[in-house]
Amino acid sequence: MRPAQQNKESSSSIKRELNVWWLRLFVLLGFVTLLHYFSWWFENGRYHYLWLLLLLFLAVIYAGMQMVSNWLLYLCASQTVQTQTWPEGLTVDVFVTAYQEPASMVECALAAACALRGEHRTWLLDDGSDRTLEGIAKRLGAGYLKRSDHQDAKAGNVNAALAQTDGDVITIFDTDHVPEPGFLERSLGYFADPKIGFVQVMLTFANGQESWVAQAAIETSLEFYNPTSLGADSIGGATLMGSNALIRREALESIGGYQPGLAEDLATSISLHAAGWKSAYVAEPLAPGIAPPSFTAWFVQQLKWARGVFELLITTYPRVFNRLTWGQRLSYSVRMTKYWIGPVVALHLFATIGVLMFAGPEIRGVFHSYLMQITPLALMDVLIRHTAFSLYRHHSIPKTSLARAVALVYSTWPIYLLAWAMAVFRVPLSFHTTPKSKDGRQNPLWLLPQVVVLILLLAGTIYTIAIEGHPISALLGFAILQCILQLLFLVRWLNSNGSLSITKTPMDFSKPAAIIDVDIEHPPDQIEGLDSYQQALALVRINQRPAGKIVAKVENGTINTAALEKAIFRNADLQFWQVWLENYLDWKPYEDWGSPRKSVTIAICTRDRPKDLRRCLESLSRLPDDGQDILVVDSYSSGEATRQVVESFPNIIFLREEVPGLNRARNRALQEAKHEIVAFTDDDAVIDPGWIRAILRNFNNPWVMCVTGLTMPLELDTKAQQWFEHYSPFNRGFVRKVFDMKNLHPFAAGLAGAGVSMAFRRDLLEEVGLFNENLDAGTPTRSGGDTEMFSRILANGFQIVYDPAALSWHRHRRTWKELRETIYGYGVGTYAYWTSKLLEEGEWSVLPIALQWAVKTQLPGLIRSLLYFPDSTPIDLLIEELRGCLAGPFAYLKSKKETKLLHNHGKNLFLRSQGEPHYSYPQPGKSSGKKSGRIIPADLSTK
Amino acid sequence: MVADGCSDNTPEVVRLFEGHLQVRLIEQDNQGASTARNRGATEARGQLLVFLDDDIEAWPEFVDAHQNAHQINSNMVVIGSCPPLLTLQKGYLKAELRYWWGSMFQKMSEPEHRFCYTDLISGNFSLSKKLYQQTGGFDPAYRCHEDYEFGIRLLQAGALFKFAPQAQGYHHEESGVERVLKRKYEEGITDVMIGQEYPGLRPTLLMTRLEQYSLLPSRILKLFAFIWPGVGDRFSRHFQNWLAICERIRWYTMWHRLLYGLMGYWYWRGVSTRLSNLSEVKNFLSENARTSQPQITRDIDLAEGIVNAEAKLEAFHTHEVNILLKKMLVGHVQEQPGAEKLRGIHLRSILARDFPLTFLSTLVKDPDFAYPEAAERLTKLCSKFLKKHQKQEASYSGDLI
Repeated sequence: MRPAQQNKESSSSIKRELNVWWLRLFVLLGFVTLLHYFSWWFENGRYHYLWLLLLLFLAVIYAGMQMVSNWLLYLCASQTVQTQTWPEGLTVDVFVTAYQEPASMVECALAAACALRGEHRTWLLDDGSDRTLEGIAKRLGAGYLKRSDHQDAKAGNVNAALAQTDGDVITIFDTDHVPEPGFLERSLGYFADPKIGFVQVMLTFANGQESWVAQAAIETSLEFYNPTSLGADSIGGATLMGSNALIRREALESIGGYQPGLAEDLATSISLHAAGWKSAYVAEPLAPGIAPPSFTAWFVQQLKWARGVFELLITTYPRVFNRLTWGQRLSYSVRMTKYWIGPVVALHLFATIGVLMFAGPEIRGVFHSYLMQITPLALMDVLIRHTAFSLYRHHSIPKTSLARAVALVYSTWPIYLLAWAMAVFRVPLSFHTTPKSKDGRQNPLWLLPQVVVLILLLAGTIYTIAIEGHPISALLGFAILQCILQLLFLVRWLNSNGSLSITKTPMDFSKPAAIIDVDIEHPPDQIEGLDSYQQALALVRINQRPAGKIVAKVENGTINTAALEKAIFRNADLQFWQVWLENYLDWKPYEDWGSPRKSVTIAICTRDRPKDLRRCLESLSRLPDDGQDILVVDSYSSGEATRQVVESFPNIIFLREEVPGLNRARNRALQEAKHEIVAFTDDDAVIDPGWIRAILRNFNNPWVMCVTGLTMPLELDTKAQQWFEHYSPFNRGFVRKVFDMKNLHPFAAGLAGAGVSMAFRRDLLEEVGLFNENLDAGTPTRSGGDTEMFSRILANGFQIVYDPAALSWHRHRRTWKELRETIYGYGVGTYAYWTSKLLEEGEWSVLPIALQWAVKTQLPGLIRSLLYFPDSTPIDLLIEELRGCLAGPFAYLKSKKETKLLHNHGKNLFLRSQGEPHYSYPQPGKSSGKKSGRIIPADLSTK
Repeated sequence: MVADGCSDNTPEVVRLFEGHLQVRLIEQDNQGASTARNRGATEARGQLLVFLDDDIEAWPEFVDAHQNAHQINSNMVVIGSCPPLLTLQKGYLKAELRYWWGSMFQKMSEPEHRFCYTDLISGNFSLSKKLYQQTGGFDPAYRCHEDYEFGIRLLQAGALFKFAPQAQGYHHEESGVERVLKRKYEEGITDVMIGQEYPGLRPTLLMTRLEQYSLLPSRILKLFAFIWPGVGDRFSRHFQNWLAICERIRWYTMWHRLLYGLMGYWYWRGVSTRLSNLSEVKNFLSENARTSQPQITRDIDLAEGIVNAEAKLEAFHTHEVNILLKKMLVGHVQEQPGAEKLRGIHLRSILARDFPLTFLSTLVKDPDFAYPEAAERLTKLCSKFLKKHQKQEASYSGDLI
């Protein structure tokens, strides 16, 4: 070890030691606040109120058992490592328990179980007697066990399998847990101690990206599986958790097999401990599973667990209490009181509502003082949990605030309350496996209690403020806080309607992504050389045609294409399948309309980006020669760099505009272009070799006036680029679309495409006019020129075709500052263009369109960002956009004024160099060589 | 060149070109477009007849394109493209007319288009003289949509329609609102005639669609058309004035509603000249299709390979067919009244456009499907979107007329 590294190590261990001391200090303070809280109960006159007594009871149980035990466990926690190796001669059976789960999921888990390193036999315990699963087991070489009855659910299933196998240790996996190959090696060593009855491996979950619920559900478990379980383990109280568990057969047989019940794992665990067996905990994420992805799944799971745990708490726990060690008692008291949070929350909610609506000043005062006493305790508890979590979390688990977990658990109170009632009255709950696939449909009835409470809370708050004239106090603050928590939850719920339509690809925005281009008809064996990346955005093509995109995982600089292909098909959306189907049928629509080939002038308008321009021109020089010519319009660049770049390529026409303005440059290009079709691209884009042909074939139809194309990102190396791609991609899907005035409102024309890849039939432009020179880059309006043109095309009854086969790649802005400016510019441009329509043409229908945009897109986006929804847009971008919208109308007026000045004073205004400018100002909306309204195609008029 | 009762200097204009063109001028009293075209056809000496209206300005390759298209088969009807030149119109109406023509040719320009009798445009089309004689030419009884009527007989005779985009000519469209409405009036008359002559085609007529999907204001206008046409006409005149007002205040939505309401009104006025009251209309529409004989639906199985399936479909020469994949039903192609018989070229388009969801979900069920990992999600997607699709189909989207 080098000295520097050593220093770093030692400094981090000092820091760690310091944090442990902090934790101890916080726990001490926690006890102080706890005493402070309890002291409230011993003041005079507290026992006149029955509901207060009830609160006391719950508070004592919760605060006493849950908090204190948990804090003590945190203090005991330490990270241990397995020291022994796999004991000689120990035989292992691996059980994968299945009950009506999807076959693909079972196959995944079973394959991983079979592939575990070390000698073992794998068994599929199928309680659903499914033929497909039998086939899968046979194919993978695993044993297949089923039983005739379905008594005792999972416990019965395991016990039946126990009778038919003979390994010394059994390992149990639920079907959603996919173990890593080293699972057994890392955990079996503990069995060298003959007293060890079972070993539990940490439960982790891999589907956090799937939905907000999944992420929140995972976070609710983090604190338990890290500091709490570590603490429990170090004092001999590691408990069994159902999956990812290794149990000694001898131990299991000594207690009569796996214990049936709703919380069968906990019952078995407690019995094993009571029988004198010891346990161990492996704090490594060796077999990630699936957390409940939807609210329904989460509720069903929590109901089942809470119901089972409450029942054990009132039946088994007191009975075996004497036979447990202190460590075990502590550990179980934490686990069994976890769901007490439900009744506690409920009672506080009801108390708040009651006090708000009915209480006189006296009770109000009492409750107020109660809140003042509980607040420090709550804050300390949060602080302690957070410190402990950040201190003892496994290094693979990302840092998080646990805020989502709080919101989710806090709002699940009706479920816990129900479970508690069911346990007390012994209402049976028929056994359901926790639903593990996200099926979208959710019954709103689940939500009724939260809605009712929210309404009551709001009503109570308004009543107190408006009618009673009560000043804002801690009581109201508390009520409002509760409102927010419930509301947050409801918004989540409304937002969670299972979306199946779009391939949601989990992109990690904090890491750069490589860009790859895969044709699944001709896939490379392996994609290599991505050493600095951990993820990649893949454009998926089928026989050249773009069909979709997917985020691929990069491992050691390579992507396994076989796995990628599987992932593509597993996640494909309908657009992909549409392209796939056409390829499968070998059907090439729109390819052969049989019209004579036209040729195209490619125009690039550039300003001060010589480096990008060079890359763009290089890509153009790789195009097949279809008789196209290339035109570069230099829009008021400073210096000679742009000219030099263009001159280093052969046969490119270079034009210079002495007045800034992208639309001026575009008009110049349209006027000087040689061919009938003029295709525009940006200087920061790279063109795919198939671009021109894809564009041209759409112009074979004389009704098509404009063709736009798909644009993919050229690089996603920075956070800004990732967000741009996420927030405002140039991607309009992978299916060809024909837009006309009936299916796309002209004032929403931005949906038809963007200036980075668009082509026009030049002569038809006489019908709709040239680009509006008051708009777009180089003027105060910053953007909107392309959209305004699309809008005029549509409003004139022409068609715009979006063809994804016309592919280009765009280098997004690299820095966050540039990104913000771009987004601001989009806001300005859109509103400037709408202002131009409103003022110049009296098109007041831009107003409802603007309103629609605000209400349907901007406002929800803002709310989502404010509530920190996953993959919601960073708030500063939204604010930039809104600022832009506000500035838009003024920008337009300013730009118009400048144009007018320019018109009056001519070239002197923008004259920078000494040279003679070649600027001639065309009338906006009119073409230069106007003969009549007639459209004569260029190639005909020369004949 | 047939001059149908011209009172202007048409003959002089024709005479100007006599040196450059082989042109013969036939003059007759005004008897309508059908008779004029028939006259031209009988006088023609060539084997191929190209019908061209006087307001179409043909491109240089126009004749070549027509001729080339006929080389494939002697039984062809070639329809050319005629983009409109809208120099007289302005504003909303101009855009609307352009959109109408555009969407019409858009459909036809796809090679897999299943042609219908309504695709025949007499302004620019060609057929062999033999086929013309076999089918008997235009019916002089029709003052409007004589091309549709001819199209019906051509399709019944087994003619093969084809769209030739290069056989192009600019159409000097002169319609204003007045003319558009008058045209609708005539279409109303003609639609009843077509429906009486070919009862099987009644479901394809505009009035069926209007009966089914019209909203309340249009239904009230319809009542006026039948019961108080005098009041209705006065309203119509007012509404026409309002069109201009809507355009001046840039209220496209209202303008659009008004125009389509008026078009519907004048269509019903046309209908009312032949069917005097509403119950007659109802009877007229309800007794459709009984005349057509039940056909035996035949099956094609895609397991034979797509090329073989196409050949089989071509050979069946039928209006409806069941498409199967390994005996599992992918979809039933229903008979479309007034459309051509199914040809091989239609198959892929039908599979990819009309039945993509059922086709994909059938493919998944096939045990040989190459991507078992896709099955779960794909099945879900298909069933979800099928439901959505069915919901959408229940209502009519787009313009009724």
